[in-house]
Amino acid sequence: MNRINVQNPWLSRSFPDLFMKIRDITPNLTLEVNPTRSGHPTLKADGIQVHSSYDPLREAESIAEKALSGINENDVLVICGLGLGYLAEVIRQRFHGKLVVVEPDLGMIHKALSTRSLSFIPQATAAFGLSPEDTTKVIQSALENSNDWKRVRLIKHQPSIKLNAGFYDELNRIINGRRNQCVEGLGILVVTPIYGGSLPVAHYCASAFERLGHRVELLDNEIYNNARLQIESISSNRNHRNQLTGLLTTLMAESITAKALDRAVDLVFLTAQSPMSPNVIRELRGQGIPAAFWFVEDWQYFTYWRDWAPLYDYFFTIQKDGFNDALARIGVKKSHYLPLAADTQVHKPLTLTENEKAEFGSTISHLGAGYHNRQEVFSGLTDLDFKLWGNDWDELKSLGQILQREGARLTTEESVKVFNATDININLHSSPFHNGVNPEGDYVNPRTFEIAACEGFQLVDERSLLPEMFKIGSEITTFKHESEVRELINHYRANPDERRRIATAARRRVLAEHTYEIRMAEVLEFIYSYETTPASRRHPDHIDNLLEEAEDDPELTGLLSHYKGKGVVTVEDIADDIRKREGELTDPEAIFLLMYEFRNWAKEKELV
Amino acid sequence: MKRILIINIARMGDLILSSPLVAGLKEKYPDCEISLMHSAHFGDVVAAIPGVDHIISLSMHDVISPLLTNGGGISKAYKLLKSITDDLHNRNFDQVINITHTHFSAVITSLVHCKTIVGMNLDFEGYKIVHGNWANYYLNSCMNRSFNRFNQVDINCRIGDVNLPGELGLVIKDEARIDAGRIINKYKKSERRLIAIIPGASTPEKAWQVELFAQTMAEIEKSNAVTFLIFGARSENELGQKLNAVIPQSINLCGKTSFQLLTALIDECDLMITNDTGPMHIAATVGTPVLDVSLGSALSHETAPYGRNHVVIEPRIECYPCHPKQRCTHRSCHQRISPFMVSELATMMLEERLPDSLSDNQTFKDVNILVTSFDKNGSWELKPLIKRPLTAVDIYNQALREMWKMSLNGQPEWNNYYEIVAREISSELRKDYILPNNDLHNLVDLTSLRSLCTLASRGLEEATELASSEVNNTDIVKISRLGEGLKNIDLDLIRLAYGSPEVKPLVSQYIYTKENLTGWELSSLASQTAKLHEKLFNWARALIKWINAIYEGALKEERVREQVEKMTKCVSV
Repeated sequence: MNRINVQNPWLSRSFPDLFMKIRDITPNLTLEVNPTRSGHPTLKADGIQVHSSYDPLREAESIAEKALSGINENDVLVICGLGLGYLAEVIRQRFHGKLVVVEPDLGMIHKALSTRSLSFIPQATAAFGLSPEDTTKVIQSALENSNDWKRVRLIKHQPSIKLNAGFYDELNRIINGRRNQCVEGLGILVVTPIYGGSLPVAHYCASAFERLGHRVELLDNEIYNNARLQIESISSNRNHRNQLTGLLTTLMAESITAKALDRAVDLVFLTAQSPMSPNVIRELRGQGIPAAFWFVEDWQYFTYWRDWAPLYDYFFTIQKDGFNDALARIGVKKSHYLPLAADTQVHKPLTLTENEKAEFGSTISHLGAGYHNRQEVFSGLTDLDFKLWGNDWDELKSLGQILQREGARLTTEESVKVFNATDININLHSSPFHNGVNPEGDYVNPRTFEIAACEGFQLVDERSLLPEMFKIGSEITTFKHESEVRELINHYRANPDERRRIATAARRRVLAEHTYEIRMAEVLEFIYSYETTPASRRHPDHIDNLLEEAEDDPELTGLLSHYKGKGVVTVEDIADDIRKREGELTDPEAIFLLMYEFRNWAKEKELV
Repeated sequence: MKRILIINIARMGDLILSSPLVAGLKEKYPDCEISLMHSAHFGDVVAAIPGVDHIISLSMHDVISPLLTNGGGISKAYKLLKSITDDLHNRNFDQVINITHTHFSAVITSLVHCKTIVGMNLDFEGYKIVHGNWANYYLNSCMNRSFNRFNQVDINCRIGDVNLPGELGLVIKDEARIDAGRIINKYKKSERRLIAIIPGASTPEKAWQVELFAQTMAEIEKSNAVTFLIFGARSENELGQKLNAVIPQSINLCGKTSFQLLTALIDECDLMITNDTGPMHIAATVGTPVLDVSLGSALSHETAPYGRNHVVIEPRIECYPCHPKQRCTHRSCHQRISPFMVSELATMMLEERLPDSLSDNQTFKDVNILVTSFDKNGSWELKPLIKRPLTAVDIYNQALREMWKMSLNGQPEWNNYYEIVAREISSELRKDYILPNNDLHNLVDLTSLRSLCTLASRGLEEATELASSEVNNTDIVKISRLGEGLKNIDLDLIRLAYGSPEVKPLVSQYIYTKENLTGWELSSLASQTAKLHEKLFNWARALIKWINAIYEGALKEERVREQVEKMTKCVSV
């Protein structure tokens, strides 16, 4: 290996960090510079010819000519691969817009700098030696805070890409994701479970997708909860019950296909415990509709992910590391860590009435189910002004005296009032296996985000993933062991200003980073970094297709242009909007109303 | 030259029932040019209506077919509809008469952009609006069917403001007559009478069971020399085959006739026995006597054959007529009508010995038998052939019919001559019903009508106050109070109507007419509302006065007159 030593005053001045990194680098690649007949040196890396061995400059000019056709000055050009800088140099001469030159290999950068004078670099943005994620940030800054990633045009220097295939694959995927974020008006079918903790999460996701401007169809399976309970009481025979439950699940799963196809959706999104069947996932895939599942459960406690994760097209988790490895072992490639969040339209600071303060307020409270570790820890706090809210608590034990509403479940609206009215919310993550804090606890529960979003103050047990989300101390207060809780309560009871400061900072952080909108945007970014075209774009009634067809009719174009970015548009959607709209009815609008009436007629005749 | 567009997107029967409107318009405006827009499926029917100058066919299937695929048809359907509506607009009609009361026809009407419109339309913001008293009444009658005593033909003519009685008309081409003659010569033996049988109907509820038809035909054959011609659509061929299997002498022509041939053949028949169907109206048009078996949702007062001396047999059963969208499982009404009853009536009709009245004996106890006729104003009506005891419903419906006729036609001072009207109504009732011997008081409960008067007069008072110049536009509190008061009166009216169905037709007419009020100016809207309350008050008050006059005086007089007549008869005998 060549040990490279470089003295480059320009580099040390412009990129001090990079300079420090490459000054004494031992390159990964075997880099060999050779002279050519044209006088311009060429390069071979690990036996691969990076440039022409006859005339590298002419070769670069030829690549540039092809690459620059159809490019306009408003685009951001990203040159993937530096080599000895020929391509970047030629493009810089011909293109005067934003230019980003990417090269992940420090050895290559070093070799280029020590071989040629890269005078064009100050006029371009260099993303040298960075990870794919950081490279994306550089491109983002070249976009000057615009989110129009469709303006980003990649010019691929193929030998460089070959040398760092993994890096460029990942970069490509991320850029694709960003580009597809610009895909507006996706149709998303959100499927809810019948009951349980992930039911509200599904609703929050649906609202978030909607607020992101997508068309959301909801398949709310909560309506089958009575049927589920009925099955439990129908027979004492477990096999019969299982058979009936299977039929119910089949009904709910088949409803997904029916609704997804009927509403021409692009994506089916499910949260934990939502009903599904392998056949339905296959059918959806056959129609070009990916199915994504958010496993908002503890993977070590609920193990059904082993059967289901390989079936889904995309699998989102609230835990990483160990779980990611476990998923990789069973062949799940498209999985992504996605922590929980808060719906800030629901969980928000409230002005409570005196009655509400009296009913829902206390110095300390906990809202949640009576898991073993909570029973243990809270038993020692009953002497305090402590209100315990939620179900599955043993009323007969000492906690009965602080348990509210005889352990009835609270509605979401009531929970928000509790978080708002309480001085110190104790948020102890559940564990059936520990007597107090789970020392191995990693994921962060929804309550953490929800209390913070309400600008409530909370004491939360330490979780390994928490510091990524909140600054411990200034945005959130944690306890490592249950023994610390009383002391912390005493401290914060005596320091309301400090409580308020932390709570305000926590809410600010939630609004900035932990809303469901942000999470769902991340979901779509991840999914559409793999997916090419949303299924509905191929649908004949996709607004882009309709507009294309209506090109020769300015009136129709005018009416349809309101739906730009809305994905698939139906006669019913348009007629519905027309009826809701105030003001004079135009002829094109009346024709749509007529079309709607025709559709109704056809429905009556059972033609549709 | 006046260019008139009639929109009638309906089935065969409804199209035939619009022919008197066309004739009436031609009579009223001799040089007018009439275009008729219809559903393309029934082009032959429209072509046979005399007086139609231009036929505009709307193919529902052409428009809908692009929308039936899995998407992709929106632009195509839009362009097709645009070309249709542009064509309508470009024909520069002077008047549109929309007698199709659907939202769909309202949208089409609005796209014609004509200044003079009667019937359903859209206002400039796209809300449904109905122009014309009788067009509103039509909507009302659809919602309150059991109180409607006007035939569809008369309603159509009144919507179009043409004279009554109307005249049905269909042109039979010579070729069709020749073909019909050929068929009849082939099958009919010289001395036999021809009876048309229509066993099908638009819904199973309306179609008398085919076995009952077969038994009827067998009964008729026993005492009459007849040949049956069975008509129907191709889809009804199975019914024809079944009847043919039982009555081998019958001729199954289901699915084998064009509209022209069907009309020509029906014209040759001596009688038609039918469910409520399109061919029934053909028979009424060509003058073939009809025996109408009215079942399911068929409301005889609305759609029985137009003309004189047709006979309707309908079941006396609580659930008849059912709602048009009702899917019935028991079809008890079918069993109320026996083959014997129908064959008896058919024989009487064939022999032209239908009496002025039938006795209320065991044979006909489960049915009403009605004969079609015209009143002195030329309005079509149904008269009972069996005299039965007069009921409150009979008095009320007769009074209601008179009230609508006078009020909606805008007859001046119509509600002042209540004694004369009461006498006329009573006289008609005496002809058709057995007058009660006991005290007539309490026969009709007028409480709900009185409540309606009270509410309407409160509405009149509050709307008048709102319209008056005394309420300054800036007096928001007062305006809100009065506005709220009027809203509550409307709610009270609706509540009253649901609790007392007899006042529902009045309230519905008020509500539908009120929905048509337009404008932004408060005092103008309030003054229009006041006028409507006044109308509602007058309707209810007239009914109360008439009904009171009927049972307090007129009916008693009639009873005396009846007794005198009886005695005179006895003496002369």
